[in-house]
Amino acid sequence: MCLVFLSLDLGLGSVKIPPLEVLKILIGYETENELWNKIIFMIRLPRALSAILAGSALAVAGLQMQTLFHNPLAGPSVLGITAGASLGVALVMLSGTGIASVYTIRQLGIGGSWLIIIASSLGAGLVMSLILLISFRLKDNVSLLIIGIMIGNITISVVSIWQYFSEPEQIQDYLMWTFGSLGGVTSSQLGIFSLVVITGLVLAFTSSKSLNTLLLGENYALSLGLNLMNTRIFLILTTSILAGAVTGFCGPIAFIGIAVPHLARSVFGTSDHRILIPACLILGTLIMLGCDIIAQLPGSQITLPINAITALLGSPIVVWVIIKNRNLRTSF
Amino acid sequence: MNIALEISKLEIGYPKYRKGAIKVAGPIDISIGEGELICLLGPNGVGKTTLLRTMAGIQPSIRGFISILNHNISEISNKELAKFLSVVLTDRIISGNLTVYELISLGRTPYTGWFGNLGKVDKAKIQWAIDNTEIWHLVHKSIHELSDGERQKVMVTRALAQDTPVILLDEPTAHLDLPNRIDIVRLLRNLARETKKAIIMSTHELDLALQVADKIWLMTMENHMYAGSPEDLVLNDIFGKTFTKEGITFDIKHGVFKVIQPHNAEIYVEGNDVGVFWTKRALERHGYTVTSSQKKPEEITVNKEKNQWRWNYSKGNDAIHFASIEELTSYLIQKGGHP
Repeated sequence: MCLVFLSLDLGLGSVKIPPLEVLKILIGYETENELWNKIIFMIRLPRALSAILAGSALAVAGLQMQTLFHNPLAGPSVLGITAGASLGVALVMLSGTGIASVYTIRQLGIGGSWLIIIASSLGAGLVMSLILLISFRLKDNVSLLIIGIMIGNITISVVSIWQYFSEPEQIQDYLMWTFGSLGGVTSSQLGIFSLVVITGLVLAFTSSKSLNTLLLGENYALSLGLNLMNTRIFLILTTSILAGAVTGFCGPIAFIGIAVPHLARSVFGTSDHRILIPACLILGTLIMLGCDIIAQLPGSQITLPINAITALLGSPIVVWVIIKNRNLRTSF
Repeated sequence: MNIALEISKLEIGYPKYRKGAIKVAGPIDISIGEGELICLLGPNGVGKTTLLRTMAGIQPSIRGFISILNHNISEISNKELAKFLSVVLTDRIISGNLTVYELISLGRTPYTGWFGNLGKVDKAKIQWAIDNTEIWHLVHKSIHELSDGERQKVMVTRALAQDTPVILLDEPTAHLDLPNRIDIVRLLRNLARETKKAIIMSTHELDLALQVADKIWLMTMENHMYAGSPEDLVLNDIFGKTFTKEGITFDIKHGVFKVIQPHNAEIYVEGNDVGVFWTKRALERHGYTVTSSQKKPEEITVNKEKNQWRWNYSKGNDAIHFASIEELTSYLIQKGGHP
């Protein structure tokens, strides 16, 4: 199914390539159309691979947050983690004496990519630690959620103020970035992007046991011998890396992080993270590729911003999960 | 009997509070032997939960030592402690999607590898725990499908699967109806005897505690910890003193607490034993002092004829029959209660 979505995603776009031809090109068959070959390897494949990386990274980051905060509504975009990452990116993009747009930074090559990843991960980590600190004092999930949203708003307004004093070109670049884009990642950046995301995913997978223990609540987790502080730091670290990398490269992509973990629990009928993390990988990939296919509006020449599509598709999923289970608690 | 857990000079509370340490209770010196069931009693707010949390290593102590099988718990890691001590807390499990089996197998966490896979020994221990609590029929259900009583049994099973010499339970019978309360307490009683585990439970069920506990630990508002067999505590009137409040008295003859009623009239009751007992209860509730040894002007005879209860009330030459206690008492109230 992932392959089907992948070849569909590769085939659709302003130039249509039949799915069978796509597979042929991928496998390495000679094709008569040299242009197709180029389109696929230079543009579409990096784009599809970023979709896969972003989808799985956001889904796993969301899953970790939901378990860590014991909150079914937690997710990178909800609790302001993405906003924190945006702040980091804005700091890089809008500051600087020259016109340091995301494109010029990207032209810096490897160094620039790392700069963006580190800035956005730091921003994400900062907000996440702040929310975690507050969560020690506030046991109430709803209050925590509201505070997360407020922190998100504060970071967004800081960015707005920054924008107000910035050059129009910078603002336009930043605005384009906030729409979310899978197409902006070049093949050379893809290496760094995948390295960071795969590292994050492997780290997340190794914390399956701790995450399972946390399902019982922190007191039980303690009594089962879990080192709570180390686990928290580890989870914040991996979540920040995952969410930060995606936000840095593709912009703040909403709803994948909150919707996919619920979908995974629903589809696989378990709370066991040893199954849920791979499940989030697969479902995150599928949904992100699906969103990308829709975003390219098959049959037209336009490409919609990916963020609009994930929200359009993600929000009904969250609503559906809530209605289906009557409350999120029983599905958590 | 071997000592399972020993507490010496322990002061509990909040050591790192902003304005210095806040002591809740202590110093406490106490110990528990293998296979003993301890009921931890005390009025609300006396520090029962704090004591349990401190013993479980969830909360630090202010000073003093707790040792389990001669291991000082402050000197071993959380992970080691998890092999000595398991808990059943009042925290509600929020993850309703877990199955009962998954939940119980999380009890094996201290023994499993980095990925949490269950080995042969782990599976055997889980099965042993399930057999002991007899919850075979629940194993494949999700947590959110369980009733409160079933959920509590599952949590006890999880603690058993953790296979520790000491189990702590914080009010395991709260929110349960009477049959479920008895069920849980009976289960703990048998587990202590058969598995030689030391079990400590805090509870507000004084009557149940009096019946099943090997020892009672009684924390009082005066910051004193009494320990001993339930009967000794009753005979020395410690029980009565700790819990007596205005309007309530501890009936030392029957081991129950009674609401004090202003007694203003005397009445004599005789007849069927069971009938007399319940009639007495009803009359006392309505303010009568009831006697069955000395004749009084007012007299009630209780009898059961052909499966039908009958009450005969007589005063002087008046004699009235009643078919229920309700009729009897409403007549007495109407009459004014006084001779």
